[in-house]
Amino acid sequence: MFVSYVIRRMLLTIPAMLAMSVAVFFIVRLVPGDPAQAILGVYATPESVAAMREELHLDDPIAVQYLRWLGAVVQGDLGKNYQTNEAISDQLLSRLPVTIELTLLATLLSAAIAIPLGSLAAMRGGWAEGGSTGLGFLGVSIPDFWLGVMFILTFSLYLGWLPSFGFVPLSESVRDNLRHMVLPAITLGLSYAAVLTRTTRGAVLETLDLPYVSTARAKGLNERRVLIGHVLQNSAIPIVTVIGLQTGYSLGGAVIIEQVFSLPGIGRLTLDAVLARDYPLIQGSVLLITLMFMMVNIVTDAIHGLLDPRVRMGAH
Amino acid sequence: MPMPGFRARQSTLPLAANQPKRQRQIGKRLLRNKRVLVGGLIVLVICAFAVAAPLVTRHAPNFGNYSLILTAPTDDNFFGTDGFGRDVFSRVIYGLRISMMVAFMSVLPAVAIGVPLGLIAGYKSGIVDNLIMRPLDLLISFPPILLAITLVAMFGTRLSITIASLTLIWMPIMTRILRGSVLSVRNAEFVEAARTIGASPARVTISHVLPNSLGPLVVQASISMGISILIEASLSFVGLGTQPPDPSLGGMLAENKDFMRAAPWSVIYPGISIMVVVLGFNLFGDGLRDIVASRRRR
Repeated sequence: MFVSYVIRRMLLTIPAMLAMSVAVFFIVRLVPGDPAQAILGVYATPESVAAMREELHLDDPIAVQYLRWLGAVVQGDLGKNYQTNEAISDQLLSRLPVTIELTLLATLLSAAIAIPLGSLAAMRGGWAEGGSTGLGFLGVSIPDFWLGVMFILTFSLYLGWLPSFGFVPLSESVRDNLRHMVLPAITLGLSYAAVLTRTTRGAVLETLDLPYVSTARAKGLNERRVLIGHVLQNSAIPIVTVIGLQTGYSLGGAVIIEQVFSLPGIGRLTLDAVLARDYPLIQGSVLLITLMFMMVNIVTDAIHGLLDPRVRMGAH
Repeated sequence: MPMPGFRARQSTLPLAANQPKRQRQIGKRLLRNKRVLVGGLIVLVICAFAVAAPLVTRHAPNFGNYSLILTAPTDDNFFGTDGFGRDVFSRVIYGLRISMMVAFMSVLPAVAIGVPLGLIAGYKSGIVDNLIMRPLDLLISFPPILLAITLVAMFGTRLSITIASLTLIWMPIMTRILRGSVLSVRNAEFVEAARTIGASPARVTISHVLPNSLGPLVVQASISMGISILIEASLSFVGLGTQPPDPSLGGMLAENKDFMRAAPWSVIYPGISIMVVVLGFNLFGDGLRDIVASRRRR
């Protein structure tokens, strides 16, 4: 039953993916001027522009051009970088691990801060509530790139504890990798922790009023066991929804944070592509980030299905 | 058959009679909420500074005094100077002017487009709802900052493009929120009552459904203005928003990042300014949310 729910959910995403592919296809077509000229840049010779027009089949009807492009994309062919002659899919895949690691670390960190703090705020009130409200307002108001710059100033330049830029792959050294990733992950995760704390507090407060929590307390369970065994489990759906949404958004946020800390991820590649007006690379990276965004949504829905049988039944 | 004009007058009379009293009540509730008060005050003060920028600053924002490069804060340069000897305070105030302009000019058009679309989608449902909402769902499926970066890549790094891309980010969200509110009130008793006494669908929508659906939209608009400022600052920070030498809070951070050890004031003050103005919008929106929620509970 769960597998069929996930498959149905994935099938529902296909129209959205197709619509998104049309939007990405038109990124190059909607650029003012000739798409071939846009791809090759202003200094391209008329001969190379003509050759590019031929390669892109720009004289064919637009629907045929789209279907040909989609066919290639489905087979993993996103075109090539006309400056370096490198396949775009290879460029993206080599940068993917950095962005995935940054996103996952930021998500884990925000959950590690927000779930305990939000639960405490709901159950105890007092300083925990004040702390969660303060973190909530500051977290969503501080620009994350500025926070990154302040972290570099404090922890790298003044204290010299952590490196301010660069990346070491996990396969080379776990310790050095984490030393390079800790500041970017905290920077990206802190604003998400703010929203998640608030969601957790709200969800826990709502669950605390339910009769089975009173029953658990009446049985003599201590507050910690009530929270972990009864309250959190039943407050999980809104919390998981927000974690899922934020994991998706952090893929966008990574574009800026990777730039602040000079991390060689998809985000920085996208930004370099935009600054260089490298349209095939922009198309490839936008497509990949948006696909990952949709996949995160599917995984979030699958977790909903696991947590709550009513979701599976409703979908049925 | 009753005359349409008569029906319309009858259906709006009770609302019109209560209007000043209702407005006074809303005003009182707004002033009693500390978050609305503090947030509103922050936004108002910053708006006043932004509008009166030439009067409150002593130096032109783009004028570089090379004998004052990277000077620490003084009585003449409250926030110190940057790597080109420009007054950081003047640049912050003029940068706030751009931030406020982006906030209002991106969100207000999104509301202006989202309100009619959301009203129609929520009130009509069915095919019309699908025709309006499905294309907008596509826009929501892109991470916001990525959508803005892509549009800037396509149409150029101009402030007008940044504002237009932010409007495109907010418009589907405003539409969705208003549609949700309309769905929740369109079968309410007071709407049924208006229909029963013969008010036309247009009048029911505009006089009864719309005023009772606006609360969540106003909350979102306030919070969206803060996020717009953050996104514009992020885009300027990576070189895709306001272009130098024009002062933008995000751009100032990028320009001064290399001197931050020698002149920390050149990155600290622009960042704090962004934080304060966004905090103002967030506090205001959050306070409004409390008021809207308490009204709904009652």
